[in-house]
Amino acid sequence: MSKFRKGGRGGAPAVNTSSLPDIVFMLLFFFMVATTSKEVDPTVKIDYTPGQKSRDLTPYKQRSEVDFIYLGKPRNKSRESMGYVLSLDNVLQGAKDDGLYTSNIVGRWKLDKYNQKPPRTKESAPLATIVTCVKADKNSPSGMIFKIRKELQDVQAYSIAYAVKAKD
Amino acid sequence: MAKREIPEVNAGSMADIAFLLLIFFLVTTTMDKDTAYLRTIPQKIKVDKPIELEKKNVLLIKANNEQFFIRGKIFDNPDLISEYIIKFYQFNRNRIGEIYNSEFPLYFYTNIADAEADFNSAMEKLNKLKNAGVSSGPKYDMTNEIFLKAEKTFYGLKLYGAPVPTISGEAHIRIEVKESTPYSTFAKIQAEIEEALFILREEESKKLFNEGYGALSRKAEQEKGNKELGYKVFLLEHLYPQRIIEVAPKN
Repeated sequence: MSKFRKGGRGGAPAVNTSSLPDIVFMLLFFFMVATTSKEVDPTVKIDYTPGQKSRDLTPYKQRSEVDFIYLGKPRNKSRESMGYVLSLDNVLQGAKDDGLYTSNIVGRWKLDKYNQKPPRTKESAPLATIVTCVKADKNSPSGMIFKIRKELQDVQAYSIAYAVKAKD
Repeated sequence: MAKREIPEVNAGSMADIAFLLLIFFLVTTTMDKDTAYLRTIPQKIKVDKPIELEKKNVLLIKANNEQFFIRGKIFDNPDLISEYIIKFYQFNRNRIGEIYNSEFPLYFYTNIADAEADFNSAMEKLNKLKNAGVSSGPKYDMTNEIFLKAEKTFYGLKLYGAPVPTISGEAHIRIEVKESTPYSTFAKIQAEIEEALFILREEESKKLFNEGYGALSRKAEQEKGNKELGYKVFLLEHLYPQRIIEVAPKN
């Protein structure tokens, strides 16, 4: 009877996992292509305003042709009294008592960023075409947007973008 | 000598490595896109006297902390701003040459012969440079740029197949907000302008090319070398140009 049962009790045969790396790599590549790397978590809290028919900035991000400026209230509780502040590369730029910032802080920041780029990138994308995206809290005053705009105009960085949360 | 077999590399941990990478990318990336309204800041020019503009060519949208105003009148429903903008663009479109008195900008026919002449002269200049052996440098780049622009204008206008109705060159939308106006209000105006222009271009695009403007412009962005798509997008943007002036706010 036991002619065909040899070797006693063999457990379930092992599943062949040799194609597992392939599957995982496929997933990996999917995520590498479909997503963009996260910006640093900004030090200011931003509640986006909704807007329709907005432009997707992903192609600009992939070409590194966009800089982000954050405008909102500080996340840090102890700094809440500062009101609406700019966050340039995660450094808070508070307004002085007269409502003005250190002169040309945005302009200088933009120029610095541009000057750090390698020469070849600078050639293909001049300063005027590099977008400055302002991510502002929905309650922040428009006057500050225009101050940013004016400073960018002064350094001849002529592309600006007003961030919104896409509605459709 | 006996042949020795090359030992196989153990790939058992490959999956672990791949998983590790996968998880790293999952954590550091975001799926949500950054979306925004792209605008160009005008260059600074010094003028002694501001140019006098005809009232009908200016669509003034004002806002303060509570209300929207269009051309001085309170506008209760901000969602209807886009409809007013559409009217601003379309009111005189089919009334070219008529005698009328209106509060909306006039339309003209663009002269395609001029565009052709510009295109020919730009091509001539470029060819002259090429024949002289110049194929790089700032002078070549500038000539080439002018040529590409003239080419786009000429072929774009040609696509329309009839005299191209063009809105008055002065016509624009002017945004005036107060310094303390919340950003959401300012963005709302921008959104309404964007929506109005999208609707106008989409409609025109479907009529002319049987394809939506959104799809067309997306394709044109992906295929930068495709001139035909570039002409189409140029024509649509020429028919309904986006001209916005954002006035620095006062208190």
